[in-house]
Amino acid sequence: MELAKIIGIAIITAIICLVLKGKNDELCFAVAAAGGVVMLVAIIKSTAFYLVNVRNYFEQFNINTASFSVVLKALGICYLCQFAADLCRDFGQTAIAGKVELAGKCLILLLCAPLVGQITKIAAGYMV
Amino acid sequence: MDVEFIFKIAAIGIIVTVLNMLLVRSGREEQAMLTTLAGLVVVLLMLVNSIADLFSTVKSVFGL
Repeated sequence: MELAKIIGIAIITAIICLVLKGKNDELCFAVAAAGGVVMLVAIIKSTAFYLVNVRNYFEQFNINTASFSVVLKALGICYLCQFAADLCRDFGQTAIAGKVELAGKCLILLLCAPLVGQITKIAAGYMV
Repeated sequence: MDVEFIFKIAAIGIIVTVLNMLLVRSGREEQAMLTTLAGLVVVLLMLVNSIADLFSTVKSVFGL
């Protein structure tokens, strides 16, 4: 992936959307969705290498990698929810976008539930 | 996942729009509506495939 490729895809998608807007709004949505998916896949595939490196650094210094994996999962949920919510919002469906974001927030909360237990255990250990 | 995917969807969109305008001008509005719906269904099927691809990429990268 290169930045020029991503920028090119973005501009081409925006222009095609402009052509279809007003004449065929549904397919304008589909083109915007397709452009978004292609760009997101390209970006994530190229940052995967860096994320694996970060995990290796954590293992090198013997930091607990379980909590880092929670951070990574939350990041993935954020990217997906942001993509869907922005797409809905672009085409006027703000309520649906809000529901998608709410789903993402609840999922991340559920993801962090074991960590809350660990924190309270550590805090209780210090308080005694 | 290529730029060609976007061009395919854009091409289907433009063809469906042109057919829609032609059919409306010649008075067959129901057929125009049916053509638009058919184009939309085809495009949605392609989109669902690519969104499934996106989800599997995100799952594999972020370990979900």
